[in-house]
Amino acid sequence: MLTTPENASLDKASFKKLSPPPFNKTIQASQAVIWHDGYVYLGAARGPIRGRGGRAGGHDLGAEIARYDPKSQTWQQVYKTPQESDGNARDRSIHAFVVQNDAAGKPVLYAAASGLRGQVTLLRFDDAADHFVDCGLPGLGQGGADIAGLCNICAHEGQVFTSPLGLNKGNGWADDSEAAIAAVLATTDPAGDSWDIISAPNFDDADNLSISALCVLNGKLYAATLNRKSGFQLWRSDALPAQGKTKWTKLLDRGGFRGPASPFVASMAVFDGALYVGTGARPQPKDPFGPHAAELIRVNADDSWDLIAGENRLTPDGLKRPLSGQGPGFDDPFVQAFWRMAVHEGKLYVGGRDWRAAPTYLPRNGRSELSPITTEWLQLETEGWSGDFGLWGGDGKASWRCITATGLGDNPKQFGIGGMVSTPHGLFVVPTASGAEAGVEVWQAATTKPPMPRRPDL
Amino acid sequence: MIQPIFILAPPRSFTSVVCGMMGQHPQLYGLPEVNLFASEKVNGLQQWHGRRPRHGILRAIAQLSEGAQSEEDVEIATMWLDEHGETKTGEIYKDLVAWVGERGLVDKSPIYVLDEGALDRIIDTFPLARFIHMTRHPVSTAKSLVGLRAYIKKSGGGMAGAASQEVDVNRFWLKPHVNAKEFLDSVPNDQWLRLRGEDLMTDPDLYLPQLCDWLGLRCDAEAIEAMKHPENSPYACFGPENAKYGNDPGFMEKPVLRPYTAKTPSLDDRLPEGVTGEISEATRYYATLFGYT
Repeated sequence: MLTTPENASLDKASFKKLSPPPFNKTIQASQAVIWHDGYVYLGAARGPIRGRGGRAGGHDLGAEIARYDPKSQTWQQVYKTPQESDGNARDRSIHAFVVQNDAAGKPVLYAAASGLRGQVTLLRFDDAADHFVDCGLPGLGQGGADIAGLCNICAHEGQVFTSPLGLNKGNGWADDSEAAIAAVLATTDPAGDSWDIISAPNFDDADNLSISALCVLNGKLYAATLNRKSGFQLWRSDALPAQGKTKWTKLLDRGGFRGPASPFVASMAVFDGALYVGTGARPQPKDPFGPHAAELIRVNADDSWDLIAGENRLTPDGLKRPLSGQGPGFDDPFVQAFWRMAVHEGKLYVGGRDWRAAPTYLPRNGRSELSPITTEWLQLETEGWSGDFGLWGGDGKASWRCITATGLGDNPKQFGIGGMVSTPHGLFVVPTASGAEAGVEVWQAATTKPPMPRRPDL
Repeated sequence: MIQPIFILAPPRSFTSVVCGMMGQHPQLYGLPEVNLFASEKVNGLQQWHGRRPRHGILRAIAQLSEGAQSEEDVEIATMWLDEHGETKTGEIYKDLVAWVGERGLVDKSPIYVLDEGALDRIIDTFPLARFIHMTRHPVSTAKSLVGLRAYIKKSGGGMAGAASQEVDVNRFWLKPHVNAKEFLDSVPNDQWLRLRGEDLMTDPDLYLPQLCDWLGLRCDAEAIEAMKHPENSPYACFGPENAKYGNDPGFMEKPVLRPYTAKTPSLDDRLPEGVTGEISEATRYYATLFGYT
């Protein structure tokens, strides 16, 4: 149910736009942000301009990382992708950050830089140089496998876990959804050259095309797959051993029994002892039949699960009714994905990605199966869209509040929240945009205390 | 008051047996195919009610007002319905609601997903109605329809509306399901759910209690057991000569619930003889969306 303001401590007015990060002009998106050692680190991605990869013609400036000091309110560039001999950038985006202690127990920040044409490169922050430097082997040392990027990286008790995501197919940024190796990889040293595969390839189902999200809860690893044919699967490991393989159990099948309307998991977060799973519909390949809004699911520590926002349904695991009382997309049909989640001051925040930015559901040759009134409604909604996207906050159960359904600010090119991180200085939200020189904005929300109870009238 | 429940599906989607099962729940009453909302007024039903499609409403009126379905009861029902030619069908439906008292009506009339406007009339009349979008694999649906057409032809009958035309799987399966989906997209989320008929038929003990729970009905063993006896429905048999049908003939011949093992055809399977066209990209997409491969 939609709730009163005191159930979510932030509102839209809480957010203030920071000064722009010092990114090059081809940067328009961010998909990775982390709080580390007093800074907000922001990874950025170039936009699809002037062709892709090898056809960029030397005009591609590529991925960068900047960090923000909330105390001094200043930005500092801490990584700039190297240029290759033909003038093109090596990296197209920063997809993930993780902090892992080194042998001396000192926390070290790592980043994954997706290749514009080649394999993913791991970066390590070098304190002495005050800059990121390459580390490890390209493509996680998996030979010549087409590993363009990584989904996300998570750390647990001396180990780091990730999974390949994205294919370049020798042509640069050919696919952002599938993987050459759809399995979980683990290492004790991200800077080293030894990554072990600790899950069965594709979880023994050829329709699992990649692992789209990873998360650790209670010493167990959760991995979600992209499965366009029957819907995502969610797998849980046994308690993670210090090294080596682990046993996996499938917790959710067929997109949480919703089917291919939930083909993949866009985000996962741990909140209040449970795992929250935000689904999404992939833009690749183009889906000419949507929109199907995303669902939010809670997986409990005992492996049971609840629907937080989504479609009522009967399942082998029992009746599932949305605890929030709201349907997919928190009743917004254009929420293509619950793209990012963050826990901040006792609330769970969920950021959306809006389908209207790339309305694949309105193909040029029309939708002959739909009624004219539905087609017209889709057209009107799409034409009226201008940088709108949603952000919701709640208690993880029944009480949720829509913080904004119209985005932050007035940038018409923004279409979703690509980064969100909690810090002692408030919640940082990074909208993502599309279009040349759309730029990356960063918004900071200091917590607004709930209003004092009103005095009874005398 | 328990709000009316509408099962939305094209013909041959397990709706007769499911409506029969639901109707045996102590708090529900399963109707035959009354097709009332196919028109704004009773007079307008003529285009749909030319022959057999009228049997269902006549049997329902006879049973509910006269307590039986003799030929004489049906004649009384016919006169009553004819007298109300200018009455809105929604008002007639409210009479049915009043006649069953505290029990909630369950209606599976297939015309509702075939006729433009019927679904809007339902929600206008019953804004809090519940909807179950029942699906079945398109290849199975087509196969079943071919069988029904052969049965009706053999018994000397004919089919009305779209069902009388060639069995084109895209038109017969896709359009009704898209109609239902478009409509439900405009209905509050808590008033509808989508259900694969094969799942319910394969494991009624698993899914019937969930369905009752969702509807806010009794889920105890006695209620569930009653639902497993659709043969106890007053419409689980052929009616009198002047209103013989009003339900699926196959169900009326063999209404007892039998163990069901879902056959799993493929969308790539060759369509059965008697079906025209091929599965279109749109049909394939929506079938996949509903969980079929």
